[in-house]
Amino acid sequence: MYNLVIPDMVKSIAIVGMQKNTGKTETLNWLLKQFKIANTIVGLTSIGIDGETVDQVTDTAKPEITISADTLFATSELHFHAKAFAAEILAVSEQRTALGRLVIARAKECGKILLSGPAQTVWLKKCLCELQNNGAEKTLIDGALFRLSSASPAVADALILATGAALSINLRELVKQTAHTVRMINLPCSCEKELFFDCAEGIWIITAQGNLQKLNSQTALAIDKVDRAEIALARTIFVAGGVTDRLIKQLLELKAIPAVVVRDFTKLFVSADNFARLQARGVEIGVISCSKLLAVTVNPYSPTGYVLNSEQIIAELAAHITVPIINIRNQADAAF
Amino acid sequence: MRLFKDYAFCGVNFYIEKLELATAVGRTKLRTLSVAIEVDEIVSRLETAAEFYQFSLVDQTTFNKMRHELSRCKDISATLTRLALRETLDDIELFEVKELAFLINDLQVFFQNDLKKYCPSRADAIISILDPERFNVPSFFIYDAYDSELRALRTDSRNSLKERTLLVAERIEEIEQRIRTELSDKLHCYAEMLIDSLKKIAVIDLETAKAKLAEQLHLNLPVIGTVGIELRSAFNAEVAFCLQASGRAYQPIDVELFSGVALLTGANMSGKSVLLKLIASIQLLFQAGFFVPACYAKLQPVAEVFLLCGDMQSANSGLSSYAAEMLYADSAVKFSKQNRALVLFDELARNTNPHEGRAIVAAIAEILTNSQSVVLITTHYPSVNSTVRRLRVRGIRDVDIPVGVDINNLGDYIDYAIIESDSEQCPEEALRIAELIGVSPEIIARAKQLL
Repeated sequence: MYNLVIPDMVKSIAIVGMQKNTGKTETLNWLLKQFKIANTIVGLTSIGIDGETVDQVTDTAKPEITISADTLFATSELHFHAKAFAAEILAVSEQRTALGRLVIARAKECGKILLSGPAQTVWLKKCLCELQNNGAEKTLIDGALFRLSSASPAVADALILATGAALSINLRELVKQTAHTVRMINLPCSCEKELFFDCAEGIWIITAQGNLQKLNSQTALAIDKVDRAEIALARTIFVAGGVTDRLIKQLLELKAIPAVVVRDFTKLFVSADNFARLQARGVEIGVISCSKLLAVTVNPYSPTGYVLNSEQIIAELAAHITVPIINIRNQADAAF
Repeated sequence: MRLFKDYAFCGVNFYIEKLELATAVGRTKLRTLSVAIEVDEIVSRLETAAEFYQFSLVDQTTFNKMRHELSRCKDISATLTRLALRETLDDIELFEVKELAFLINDLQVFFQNDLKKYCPSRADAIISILDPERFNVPSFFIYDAYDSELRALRTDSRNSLKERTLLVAERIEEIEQRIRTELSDKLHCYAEMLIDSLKKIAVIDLETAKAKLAEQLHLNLPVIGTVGIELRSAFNAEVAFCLQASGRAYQPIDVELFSGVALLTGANMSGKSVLLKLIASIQLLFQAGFFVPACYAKLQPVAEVFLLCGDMQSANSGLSSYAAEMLYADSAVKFSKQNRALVLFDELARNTNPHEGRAIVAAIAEILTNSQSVVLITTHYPSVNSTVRRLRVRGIRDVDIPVGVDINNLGDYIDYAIIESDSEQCPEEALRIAELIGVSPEIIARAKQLL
């Protein structure tokens, strides 16, 4: 089994998938096994619903999450009752998820669990703290489809990205999209990030003279003409909310494009092509909080039945990615 | 009478919003708090409030620690109702019961001597049922200690999930369910006690929040009287709070009201409406068992409080403000003929012509003169009724008002004191005040010519 090195300072890890069926749950099981061998006490939760026995979207068999005794977990009332092993209840929230209150418990024996955690990042963060206060040395977050917010550095210290044939059975497309996401995750911290700490909302610029100024446009979806003229003269532009392709297209129309800063990579919704165009224009793109990518896992099986050559995927990805790339299907067979 | 929270129009919502409740049961308690009418009930409520206030003063550290502990309390009344109905609780519900039992025991240290009666009784029996292995922590699961077969089955298959056959899993589930039923049966006899404990916690939460509020807003304990209302240095806490924020002082008011009617006159901006709202809120706070914003307050309980103020227009019922006011006044008069009420009318019948308006005020004053209700009517109409008691706000101070006074600081030149008045005339200071707050000289000059 591949043994991933996890730095001591990394206490919480989010596992996010590029798509459904890219092997996120298998990645989670593999990590759980690794922690068990190392005698590390793990706390486990999810953003939204996860851990169904059958995938609700594609109706394919899904691996269940298997936890060992002493593992801490947070799941909704409904899924807590569905488990078939003894677990000690440590706390029950007053707040409710879509599936009832959130139960924090410690497994007394090993068993299979369905995970459904808080859907809001603030509550998720609180939940991670509670797991840690009850003795979890590392916490894992099972991210839901496209719910990148769980991977935000505001929530988790580090992340693992699951990719695979479910994303695309075209090898080039798979590599292109995965490499793009990795590039986003690895965006460097902006050297001007301190200037934007208090900018909670809206669009801000740093003028050529170095002054911080808020623009009139309320969202990054539509920037008015006056603001565009201001941006053209600015040194840096900071968008507190999400940055979309539409905004990037507007920026690309400018003669001079300022450096772009976003809160973290989860706020960036930009296609690989537009990102490449920005880079070709020499635009610097930075974040306020940077993310730490620990590994990329690859599932060569697609839910539609195709199997890609895993060695080839890994070799091609390795040209773009410096962190370990792991074929998750090879890890799944290791004895629990 | 309605619930305390339903008297928001009388100014009690300021106090409701300022109360810092720590628990859901406390919030429910406040939401359903009644306004008491019986003397005994009011006395008992005020005694409780006083005891908690004393507690907050004597040992602030313990008091604050106790409030902190209280915040652990969850409203599990639905679970307790199920327990009382002999239903089988699930693991989460059993955990909730255990959590409450631990909280009840942890609260014990805070209540000594006379205060003991407010604390829920110890829950050792419940803890011993839900903590068979004496771990003394408030977590819960179906412990091995509950059943030797369960222990054996679990030990055999522990740490090796694959070896646990479906048969064993089913047997374990069967035993666990039986234990849940047994535990629920054993706990059934404590359901009432736990429901009562939640009620006690709600009382503690509300009373401690009231004590904090009294300290914060400098409220005092009112006393029960047998005639009307006597207030010394009363202050509208909400207005005083706002004035304080802008660095100005509130002038406390002394006022005494008896059964029957009193007419209150005074210049515009002399605080008549604020006074009416203040009297209404003090009466309601008193009957709900709160401390009141006055140095001294002696009050007699009433069966209802009527406060007619501001714009009574009701968009829903499609009534004009005049119609809404008159119907409200009518209901207050009808009620007051049968019961002792507090009736406060701010500029009754102001929405119609002064000729008829004055007659309406005179008629209502006459009808209520000999009633047992305490009635205070503010008016700008002169010569309303020569027989009723007349009060007046002293009004603009007899000093030279410097140039530069405007609507923001005119208040500094008004004496808000209430005095007895022997004149049937109303003070005519409308033009002077209009001038002081900066109304165009053109209007003032022409109005003076027309007088």
